[in-house]
Amino acid sequence: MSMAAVETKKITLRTADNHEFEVEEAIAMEFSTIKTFFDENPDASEDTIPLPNVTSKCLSAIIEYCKSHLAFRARETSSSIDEQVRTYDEEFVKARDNESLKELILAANYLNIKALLDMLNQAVADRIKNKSVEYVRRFFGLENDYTPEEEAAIRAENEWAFEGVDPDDD
Amino acid sequence: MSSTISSAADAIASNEDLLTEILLRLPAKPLLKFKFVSKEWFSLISSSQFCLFHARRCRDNASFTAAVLLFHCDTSHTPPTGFHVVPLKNQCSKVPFFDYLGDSDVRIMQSCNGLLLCRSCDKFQYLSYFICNPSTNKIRIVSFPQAEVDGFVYAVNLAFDPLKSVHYKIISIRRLVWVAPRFQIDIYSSKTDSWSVKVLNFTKPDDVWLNCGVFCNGAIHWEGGDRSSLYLDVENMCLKAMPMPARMLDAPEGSYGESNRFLGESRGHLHLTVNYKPLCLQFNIFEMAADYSDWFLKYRMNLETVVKGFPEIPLYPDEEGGNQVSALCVIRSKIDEVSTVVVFVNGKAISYDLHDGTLTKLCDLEPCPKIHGHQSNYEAFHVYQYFETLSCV
Repeated sequence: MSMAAVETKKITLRTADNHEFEVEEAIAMEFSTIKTFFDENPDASEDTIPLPNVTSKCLSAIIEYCKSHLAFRARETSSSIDEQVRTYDEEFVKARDNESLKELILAANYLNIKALLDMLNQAVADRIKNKSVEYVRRFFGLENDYTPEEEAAIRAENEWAFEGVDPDDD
Repeated sequence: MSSTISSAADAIASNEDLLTEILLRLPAKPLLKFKFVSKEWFSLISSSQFCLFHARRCRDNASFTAAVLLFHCDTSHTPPTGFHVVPLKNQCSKVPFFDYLGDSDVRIMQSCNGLLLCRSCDKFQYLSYFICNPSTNKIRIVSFPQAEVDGFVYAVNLAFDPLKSVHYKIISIRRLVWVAPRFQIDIYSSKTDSWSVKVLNFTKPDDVWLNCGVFCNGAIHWEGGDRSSLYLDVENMCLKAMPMPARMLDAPEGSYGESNRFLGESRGHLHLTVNYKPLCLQFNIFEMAADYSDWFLKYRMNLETVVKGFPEIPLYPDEEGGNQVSALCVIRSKIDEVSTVVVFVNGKAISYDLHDGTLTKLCDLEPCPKIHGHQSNYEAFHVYQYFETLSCV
């Protein structure tokens, strides 16, 4: 079979802050939202696709992620590849602060990239699991609608669940 | 707070599906705490739908395996000396609920997917049973039907599969005094909060012990001798005989008898572990086929050489009654079906990973008081797996 140069089809995406990204079709197809769009509109391949809910910062991170994972998948499966995937995912998450994580989750949710979304959701769960109730409220921007009396009663009844909490350093 | 910062948080918090996805990935203990983040979170986490999904995730997620094993002495004549909590994972070494239980004469009868069936004995020798979930600190006392029943309560078992339903069933077996067949089953369903009495009558072979049921895949299994065991299909109320592996089946070379048999369940698999004399640290782990046709040998485990290299675990010379394996528990992991076996030998609890052959010492156990005339230094223990769950009693 001859190694003919295959012209990789590129798709243009425009983010909420008006940046345009040209991505290879294979990567764009990782975004189920976009894949569905093309499945339903096969003639629309020339147009730029607007992504009003995604910032350029998020999109470039997501494109990096999909590129790397596609490359991993192209290689033969083995436990060392699994290990590399795990390490990559850990590094991807580790450097990001809570705000970026939340934005990435919303973007991955909007673009419907299941593997990335699962990984990010797990990362958030791991981040909050040993934190205090107050930290979680701040994280999700929630108001405490319990009265002080109600809260005191709750703590008394469930004291052991409140032990072993990490300090809120961020 | 700038508007962009709060909007990402708002968007996630107000998207119930997304929020649920994150919360389902948390273990039970933080979830119990986060119920109090807000009243909306309280109703979300308390809902039976959420509990059901969470139980399924626990089952699928390898990191949510049994956190802790408990056991206590099974001495019928003296009150139990209490519970020992053996942590399998560092983060769950404290189970405060059991501090409470340890004070009174309470015995764990069965552990079933996170719920415990316990029995307590008051000073008048009156037995009462209760179901508890140590994670949520909730108890429900079992009240048996008084009218229309004969005989006395002989054994009680719990059937609970959180993957199928948030509800559980209690199987109460009464011994009839004047009537044959000798045993009668009444069933309680937590769904209807009511009993169905006299659902089934049966006789059993003498050596089947109805008090130590193992619930697995919708059936309660009662071990008997090497020939006769029974299992009860709870849904269809069918009692069937279960074939057992013959004595010395596939026994390791050099062994001349069986030492003990341990029946247990993990992730829907029924295991029977056998160890042999004189090499008490050689084990065959059999697994029951899905259609109950037969047992097949799943793992062979030889801890002899591994334990020898572990100076903290004393090994006595290979003579009869030298090394005492008091209890054993096989725990399956979801990933690649790898298993860990926790063995209680010579007063120590050790964990052996069948995948890579590594041995870890978990803790020391205090010896239980000896009964007159009993040979061994360590009594037979009952081991119960403990999971943190949200399940309701």
